[in-house]
Parts: sequence; structure tokens; C-alpha cells
Amino acid sequence: MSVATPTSAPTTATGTRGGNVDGQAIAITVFSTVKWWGRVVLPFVFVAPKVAPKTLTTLQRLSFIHFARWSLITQIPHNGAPQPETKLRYPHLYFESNFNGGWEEYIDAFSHILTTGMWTFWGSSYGFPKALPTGPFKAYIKANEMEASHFYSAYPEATTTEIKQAIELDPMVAELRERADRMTPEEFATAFAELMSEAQRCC
Amino acid sequence: MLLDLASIRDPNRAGQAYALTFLCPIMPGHEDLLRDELEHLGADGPGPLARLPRTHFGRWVICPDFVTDPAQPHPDSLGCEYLIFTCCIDGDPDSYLDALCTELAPETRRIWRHCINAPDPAEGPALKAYLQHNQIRTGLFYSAYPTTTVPDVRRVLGQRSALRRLAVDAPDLSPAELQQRFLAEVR
Repeated sequence: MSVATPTSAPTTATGTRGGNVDGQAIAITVFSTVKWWGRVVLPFVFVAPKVAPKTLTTLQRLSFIHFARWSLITQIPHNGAPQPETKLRYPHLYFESNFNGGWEEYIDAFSHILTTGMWTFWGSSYGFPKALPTGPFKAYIKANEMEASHFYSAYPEATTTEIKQAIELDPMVAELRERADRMTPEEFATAFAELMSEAQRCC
Repeated sequence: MLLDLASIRDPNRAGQAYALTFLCPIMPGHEDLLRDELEHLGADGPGPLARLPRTHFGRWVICPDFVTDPAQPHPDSLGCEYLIFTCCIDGDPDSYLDALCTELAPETRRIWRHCINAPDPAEGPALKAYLQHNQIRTGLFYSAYPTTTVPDVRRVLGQRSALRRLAVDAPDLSPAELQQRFLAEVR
């Protein structure tokens, strides 16, 4: 769909249905049914990364996730008839992710890197087969996943890694831009080489 | 990473980014009409959310029902099909919803007319109130770049691309040419 930055990157968004894809970006949308005790535990799981941000470090290692969210749904908003008044018997966990790369690789990485975290999030869901081995877990996600009818990314050709690297590079470029027009060409060439060296090191 | 007080107060938030989630009941018999409407949104371009420049990602999903796991003692049904609409946006959700319900009115009319007791026409303040009534609170929202807005993501990506092109060309440029191109192309 819309293209923020031209790229020669090959299409890596594979392993999922067409509605879940926009450029390199993939959408995962999953509901799972939660056991009674998940209603007690999951709110603490959700708060933990906010009061102890280091618990998000593992999630950040999954460098292909742009955004992800979890919601615990215990009641459905009612709008009047003919909507049935739905009294849920169980809580339901809504999960969505916006990421780049292949669906299979995403689940593999999620399972291998976030093994404990996966149980933390989905251990209270009926049928959760443990993160490893990945085969049963992939089957579980497939069974609970819904295809998007329309999925949009504002920068569909950019990977999360590219964005994070570009953000990290930005202040260094800004600093050089700020003084570039006061430098001699030779001074600039030296500073540009230093910037490139620094960019290769960090980004 | 610093403690994100804003997201503790409001779990829909991560840094300046905000997660909107809506669950709206679909009128029985309208499911296929709505699906057809949604699947044609991007037929002639990037789709309507491209007109809201604060949108990072967005999706419309039709949920037929909850899946009943074999280990589940009893099924748990939604009773009718639901339209899930979510988006990851920059900043204030209130003004974003204003923009969604006015600037995207041609599309919102066609989409939410299939939802139970949505306003007719499905646009403006009435649609905004309907959506807010059907909003689902986020438990945990994660962003890989929570302080960076859509325009800034696009800007730094453009800057990175320009820098890469310049780095490739640099060996063939004089220092003066390199400096001129940097000032002209890297923004």
C-alpha cells in the first residue's frame, strides 16, 4: 500500500493469508479463551512491564515487532436489540501484533526467545500447548487466528530494525547538518567519513 | 528504559503512541456485505487510513465467534458476528476519532452501516460516540519506537535512504560535491 521509503528488500511477509499483509508488514489477530484464574493473573501480567520496564527487554529482542497489544475481555458492550445480550462465561484474551518477516519465523522466534513469557501471557488460555515445540503452538495460533479484511501500514516497506536504526542515526545526522555549511569541504569530508563509521558501528 | 508513567495511568498508551480497539456487533445477514466492503477499501490505493497521517497501523477484522477449544468445559458464544477495528496512532485519541469520523466519512458510512444500532449516517459525533461506547480497554500495549510519530518515522527512513545513497556515491565525489549533496539531499 503506501510507500514511505523505496527499498530493494525482498518481500518477506510470507506464511499468512493475503488480508494480513501490507508490504513487508503482517497482522496477527487472535482470540483465546481464558480459564477463570487468568482473570486474576493477567491484569498483573499487563502491569508488570510498566512498573518494571526491564521485563520488556525480552520482547524488545524480538526485533521485528512494530506494535503489539493484549486485552482481557470480560464483557461485550451492549448496543440494544437485535444485538444479543452476551454474558460471557469466560474471559477472552485478545492479541494482535504488527510485525515484519514471515509468519512461521515470527512464531518460531516468539516461541524460542519468549518461551517463559509466552506461558505468562497464554498459560491461562484453554488449549495453550506450551511455546515449545513450535509445531503445536503454530497449530494453536492458526486455529484461533482471524484474517484481516483490511490491513494498513503507514510505512509498509520498512522493517522494525530499519526504523530503529534510522531513529538512532537521526541525532548524529542532525548534528552534522547543523555545522555542515560552516565547514570547509575537506573538514566536511572528514566529518562525513566519521559519521559513516559511527553509523556502521551503531546502526 | 524509563518508567512510563503515562502508560501506567492509561494502558492504551505506550509513550506517545495510543492503541484504539473497538468491537462492534454486525447486523445479522450483513456479514458478507461488510466483508466485501472492507476487502475493497484498498483496491485503488493504500486505503482510507492513509488519509489520517497519525495512523501507524490499522485493521478491520470480522470475528465470526470465539473458537471453542476442545479442553474448554463449555462453549462461549458471541451471539452474533463482530467487527473488530483497531489502530496504533500518534497522540490524543479524541481528536483522532474526530478526524476518523469526519475525514473518512465516505468510508465510515459504508462500513458501520452494517453494525447494529450504529448511527445513520455513520459519521461525525454520533459515530464517535458509538465507537467510544464499543471501545475495549487495552491491557498491555507495546511499541518498538514509542516516542516516534508517523511523520518522524517517514522522515528518518528517508534520511537513512539518502545517506546510504550518498555513502555509495561518496568515493566518486569531490569533498565540495559531497558537502553540497549532503546539504541538498539529507534532511
